[in-house]
Amino acid sequence: MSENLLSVRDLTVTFGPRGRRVSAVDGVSFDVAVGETLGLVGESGCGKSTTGRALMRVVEPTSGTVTLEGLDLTAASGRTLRERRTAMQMIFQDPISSLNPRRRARDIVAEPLDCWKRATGEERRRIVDDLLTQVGIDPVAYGDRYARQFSGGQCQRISIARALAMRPKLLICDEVVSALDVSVQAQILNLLEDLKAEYGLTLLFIAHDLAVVKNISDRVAVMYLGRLCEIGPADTLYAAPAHPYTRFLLGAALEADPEAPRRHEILEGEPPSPLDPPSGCRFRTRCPFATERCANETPALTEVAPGHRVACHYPLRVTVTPGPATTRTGPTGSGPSDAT
Amino acid sequence: MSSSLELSELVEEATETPDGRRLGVLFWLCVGWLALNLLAAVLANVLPLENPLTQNYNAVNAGPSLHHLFGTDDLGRDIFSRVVFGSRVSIEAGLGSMVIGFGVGAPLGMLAAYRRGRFDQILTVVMYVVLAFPAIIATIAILSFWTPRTLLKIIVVIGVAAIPLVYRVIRTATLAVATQDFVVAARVQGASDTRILVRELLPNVAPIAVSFLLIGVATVVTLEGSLAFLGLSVAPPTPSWGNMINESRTILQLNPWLALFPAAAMCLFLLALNFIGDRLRTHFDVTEGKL
Repeated sequence: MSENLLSVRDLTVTFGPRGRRVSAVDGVSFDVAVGETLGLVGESGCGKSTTGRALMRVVEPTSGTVTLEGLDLTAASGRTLRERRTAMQMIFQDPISSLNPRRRARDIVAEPLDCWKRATGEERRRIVDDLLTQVGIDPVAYGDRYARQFSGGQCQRISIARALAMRPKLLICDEVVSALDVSVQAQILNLLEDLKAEYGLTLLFIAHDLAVVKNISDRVAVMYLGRLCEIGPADTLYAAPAHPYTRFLLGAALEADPEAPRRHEILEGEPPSPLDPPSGCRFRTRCPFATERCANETPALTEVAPGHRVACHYPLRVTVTPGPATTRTGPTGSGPSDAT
Repeated sequence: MSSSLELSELVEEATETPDGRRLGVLFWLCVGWLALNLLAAVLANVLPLENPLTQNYNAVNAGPSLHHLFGTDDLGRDIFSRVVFGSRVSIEAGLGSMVIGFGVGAPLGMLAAYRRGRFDQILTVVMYVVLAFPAIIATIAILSFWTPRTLLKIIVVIGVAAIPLVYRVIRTATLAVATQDFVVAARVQGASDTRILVRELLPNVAPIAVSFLLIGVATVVTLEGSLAFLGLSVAPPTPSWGNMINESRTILQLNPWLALFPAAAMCLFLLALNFIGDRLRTHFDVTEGKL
C-alpha cells in the first residue's frame, strides 16, 4: 500500500454529561492512502457521520489523533487548525442546507478564496467560473442566482465546486447522494469520479447505500455502534465478509433482480442504545454466533487476509489462520459459510 | 455599517422577487406615511410651524381653522404644531430604545446561538430572569424615582427592558440557521467566527430582526404614550402625543380636538409600523418556505 494521507488512531467521540454519556465513536483507527477511495458504511446512528465530522474537528474528538500528511490535526488550534484543515474539505448530505440561501452561487464558491485572500478581482472570477463550469453549472447563466433558486442536484454541484476551491487533498463525502434522485445520484457520483482523477483527490465516502459504496470505493470500512467491525478491499469484503455484521448488512441490500432468491438471512432487532453499549463486542447482542467470550473481551481489529482486518473473535471465513481464530469452535460449522 | 448594507440588499431583493410577488400598494403607502412622519419630525424646526409652546389667550380651545389647522388647546397653543413636535418624542423614544435593545440584545443573541455551551446557558438564564420581572411595573417604578425625567432616561429604561426580548427573538432565529450545514461548511473552509457571524448568519437573521425592530418601535411608542398618560414621560410643557392626550383628559367635552389629533397621529403611525413589519415578515417567510 502506498503512503498514507490520513491516519486516524483511537478516535473517540462522546457526547453529553456524565451519567448520560453517549459513546458515538469509540476507538476507531484507520488509514487512508493517497489517491484511494475509502467507503465508510453502517446503519444510521452508527457514528459514521460523527467520525467524518470529528476528522475535521467540526465535532471535537474526546480522544485519539488525526494525522493529515504527517501533521497532527488534533493538536492544532486557532488559526493553525483553520489553515491546516483546508486540505480536507467536506460535502454534506442535505444539499439545500449546505448552501446559504441568501448568497449567490458565485460568492458561495468564492467564499474559501475570500477567506484566505487567495485570489481577487479578475483571477477570482476566472477561478470561480472554471470551478462552476467543471461541476456543470453555467457561470454566465446561473452564477448570479441565489442558492435557494437551485435544485438539490445543482446545490450539490455547487457544494462540490466550493469544496474544490481550496484544492484539497482529501474530500469527505458525507452521504452526498442519499438526498438525491437516483438519476441525479449517478450524475453526482460520476462527477466525483471525474474530479477525483483530475484533481488527484483522496475520498472518504460515508454512506449507507452499499451498492453506491461498492461502485466507488477501493476499500470499505464497516461501522457498528461507534466501532469499526471490518475494513478491507471492496471486492473481498463484498464477496467474503468476515464479520457477521457485515454479512447481515450485505444480506439486507436489495437485489436488482426481484426474482433472485435472498442470499442471506435478515438481521433482527434494533441496535442497542449508544447510551449503554454492550460490553465486549458491541454486536454480540444481535450476533447468532456470540459466546461468553464476546461479552467479556473486546475483539481487536486483526488481519485475516492481506489488507483485510476484522474485529471479531470468530471471523466467518478465514483464509490465513491467525492466532485467535484457531481456537474457535461453533461458528465454522453452525454458521453458513457459503457466503457467495 | 454592514447591517445597513444588508438591509438595502434585502429591500432590493424583496422588490425584485423572481416570481413577481410584490409587497403591494398598501405597503408602500405605509412606508410613505412613515417617511413623511420622520421627515416632519426631523425638519420641525425649519418648517413654517407655530412655536408649540407659544400660548395665545385670544384663541383658547378653538376648533380647526385655516390659521390653526388642528385647532388650539386650552392654553391657545397650536395643536398641529404640537402634534408634529410631539412626534419627535415618540419617534426618538421608539428608535432610541430599540437602538439600545438591539445594540446589546442582538449581538448577544447571535453569539449565544452560535457558540452554544456554557456561555449560552448562563446568558439565557440571566435574560430569562430579567424577562420574568414585570417590565412595565419596573419601568414605572424606576421612572417615578429617577427624577428629573428626561427623554434620555426614558429611552435608557425602556431600552434596557427590551434587551432580553430582543435577545430571545434573535437567539431563536439564529439557532435555526446556525445548525445548518452551510455554517459547518464555512468553518471547514477556514472562515473565522466573526466572518461566519457576519457573512453567513446575519443575512439570514436580518429579515426577522427588521420585522421585530419595526414592531418593537411601535410597542415603545405605545408605551411612551401610556407613561405620558400616567404623567411619567417627558415633563410638560414639552409636547408628546401621550402628554397631549393626558392634558385633554379634563377638557375632553369642551375640546375633543386636543385628544383626537394626537391619538389619530399615534394610531396611524402604529398601524403603518405594524403593517410594514407584518408584511415584511410574511414576505420573507414565503421566501424561506420555497427552500
